Amino acid sequence: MYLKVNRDEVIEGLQKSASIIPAKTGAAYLRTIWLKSEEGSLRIMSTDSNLEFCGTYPAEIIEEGLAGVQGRAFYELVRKLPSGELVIKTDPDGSSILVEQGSRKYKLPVNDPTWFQKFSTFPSEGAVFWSGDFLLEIIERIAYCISDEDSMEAIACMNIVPSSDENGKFIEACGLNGHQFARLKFFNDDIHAILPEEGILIQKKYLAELKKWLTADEIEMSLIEKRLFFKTADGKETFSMPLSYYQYPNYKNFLSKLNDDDVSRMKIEKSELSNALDRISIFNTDSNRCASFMFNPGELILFSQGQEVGTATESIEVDFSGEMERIAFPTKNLIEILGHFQSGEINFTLTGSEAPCGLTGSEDNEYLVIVMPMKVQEETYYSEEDV
Amino acid sequence: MTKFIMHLDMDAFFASVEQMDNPELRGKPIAIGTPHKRSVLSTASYEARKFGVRSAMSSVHALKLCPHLILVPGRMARYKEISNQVMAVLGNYSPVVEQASIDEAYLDITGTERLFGPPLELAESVKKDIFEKVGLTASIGIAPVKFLAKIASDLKKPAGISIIEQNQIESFLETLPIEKIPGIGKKALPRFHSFGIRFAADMRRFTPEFFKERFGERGIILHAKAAGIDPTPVAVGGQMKSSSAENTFGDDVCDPQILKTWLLKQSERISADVRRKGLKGRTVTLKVKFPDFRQITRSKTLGKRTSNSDTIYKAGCALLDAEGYMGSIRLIGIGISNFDDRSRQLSLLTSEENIVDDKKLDDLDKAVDKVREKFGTAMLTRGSLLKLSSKVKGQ
Repeated sequence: MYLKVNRDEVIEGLQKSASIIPAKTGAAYLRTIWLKSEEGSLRIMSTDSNLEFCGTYPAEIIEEGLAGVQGRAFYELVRKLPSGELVIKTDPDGSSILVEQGSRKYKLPVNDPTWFQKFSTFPSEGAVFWSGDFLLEIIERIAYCISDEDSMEAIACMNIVPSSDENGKFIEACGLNGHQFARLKFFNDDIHAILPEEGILIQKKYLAELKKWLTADEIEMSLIEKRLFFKTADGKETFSMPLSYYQYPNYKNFLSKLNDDDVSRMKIEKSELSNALDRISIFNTDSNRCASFMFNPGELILFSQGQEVGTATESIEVDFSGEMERIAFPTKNLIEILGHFQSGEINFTLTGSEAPCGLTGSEDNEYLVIVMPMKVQEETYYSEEDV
Repeated sequence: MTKFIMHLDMDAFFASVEQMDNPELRGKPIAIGTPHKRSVLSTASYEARKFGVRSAMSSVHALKLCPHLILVPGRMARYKEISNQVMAVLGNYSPVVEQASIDEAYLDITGTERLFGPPLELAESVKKDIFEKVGLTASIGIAPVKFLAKIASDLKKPAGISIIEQNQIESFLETLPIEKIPGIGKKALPRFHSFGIRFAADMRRFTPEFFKERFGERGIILHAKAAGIDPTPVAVGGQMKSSSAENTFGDDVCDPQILKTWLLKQSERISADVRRKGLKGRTVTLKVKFPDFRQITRSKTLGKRTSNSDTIYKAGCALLDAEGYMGSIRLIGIGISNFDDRSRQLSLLTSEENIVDDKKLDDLDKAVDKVREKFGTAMLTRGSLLKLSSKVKGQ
């Protein structure tokens, strides 16, 4: 392998490539970035055995070839080099790769080329164009509700599922962690058409990597059984990840509660509530991390108390209807949820003091978050048992 | 009003109970443990301590130091009975009593001067009262903050009383080795030494932020303690923080199935213990000790609190499985903690079915507890534990 390439052309791809390989652990194969020179371009490839990144960048190819280098070291080296041309070539016996830039010369050992395994090819058939910007928004607004626990299987994934109602076809992106649920509805007939009926599940940890790779530019998306692919619109980079196959919890059960007749409703200014909760949270402690909501006609009273820190009470003007008297929410979680709404006005649908509460935005109708309240137990030292 | 916290520590508690109950043991070096080669002593009498015998020492080593040491098997039920009597006495002196362990308690005695006289006088009365009602001696420490009261109770053992007044704190901290501060253990100690910190007062040369950067939030608390500041109140009812059980094997065990059977046995013990106290815990901790005395602990926090033996056992097994094959194991134990859960976020996914299942398990536990209470623990045993029953007697 012998090629010349501009450092600035490849540095971004190298950074994306290095970000998915394991830093220290794992087989040497997985810590490798593969460089392949062919047909007037340099291909940079890496995998952690689940995610696969492949980028193609213009280069002057003097001799075609393949070399696997220790990924982190190679990326760090190129990152620290100034802009300009890099000469990359393998030495005659193929045991190392030489990187040169002017008078700077570096030699890195290469891995056995027989370790190289073919990367998945982007399936062009059925691929659809999508907005990277919008996919980023979906991840941003859903991922924080997805469980961080790997072991919890389906609820450690984002569920993207095709659906339809009397208004037509739509897609739901959902995240769930056992205590809160987020759903963003959107319309895209092309994506609706390629999604399987039961939808797809993408693990949260892969979403985090996808988010790093995505930009606001247009992307192509394609799907085969067990794998999801993305490609930049200029075709230079592909990023793919495995899909998960678990039974996603039936969220329609708790969604349906929001339509009950006896729900209470509250409309409130988002910023006013967020700021009040932020102050209230100062009075939360490890053992009491909730804010109590008490409802009066036209008024919401927020209250919190913590041993040693004291008590906090605030009153906010709201539109309120219903029978609900009191409910408690985890303060920090609620602040985080509010921060994901674009609308300045938030509607709470309260189904019971120990039952799901739905939040929607007045100008944000396609986005719904359900949060479970806190169960606050009074301390009991003695209890009697029925005989 | 000057704040005063009293820490009471019963002297060589288990050994003293045995000597009180059996006059033949009085004045003799005794220790609680068995002569088994792997038995570890839980307490040694003061007569035995003169020979260098200490708690947590192996019986074999203790017998080498003191060949005429009398080893007595422990009687936990009796110790608990005496402990309850001691706590009842303490309740007469302050409404704010926190039982820290079976033989230790904190009392907030602020404002009791008019009833019982100055703190030293009160301590004398408590000590005398315990001796008259229970027949045992205790050591007492008094200080304006909790951790200093505990350190003070250790200064004049046995049967001593020490007081650190507010105006003595500064000079006391100048000579207090930092390892005496709760939260600075063997691991952290070399780091403190590397900063030239050997005594509590040395920490004041640095800012709280210095310790925060190196030890996280804990660093700020340690810095405050080094200045004699400890806002931790005496917590009434904050009695038990964890319940655990462990067994040291006669011969090392490597079969995961046998280890799991022990976990089941231990899960039954600790679940019954927390149920008796009306508690439920969320964090299950597995403890494993290897033949070279290396020890690991692994914890898992459950989705909700439990006092159910099966749930604790399954969490313990999951922790054990997650470690993979570990080879020979000398000791295995399991514990449950994290009882303080007065407020928790409800689950979106708790189905009616799960609630019914939990109730069924709780009812089953209650029924088992009642049978055992009436007819003895051995009356009802799980089939899978039968093969252990003979071995258990020896542990």
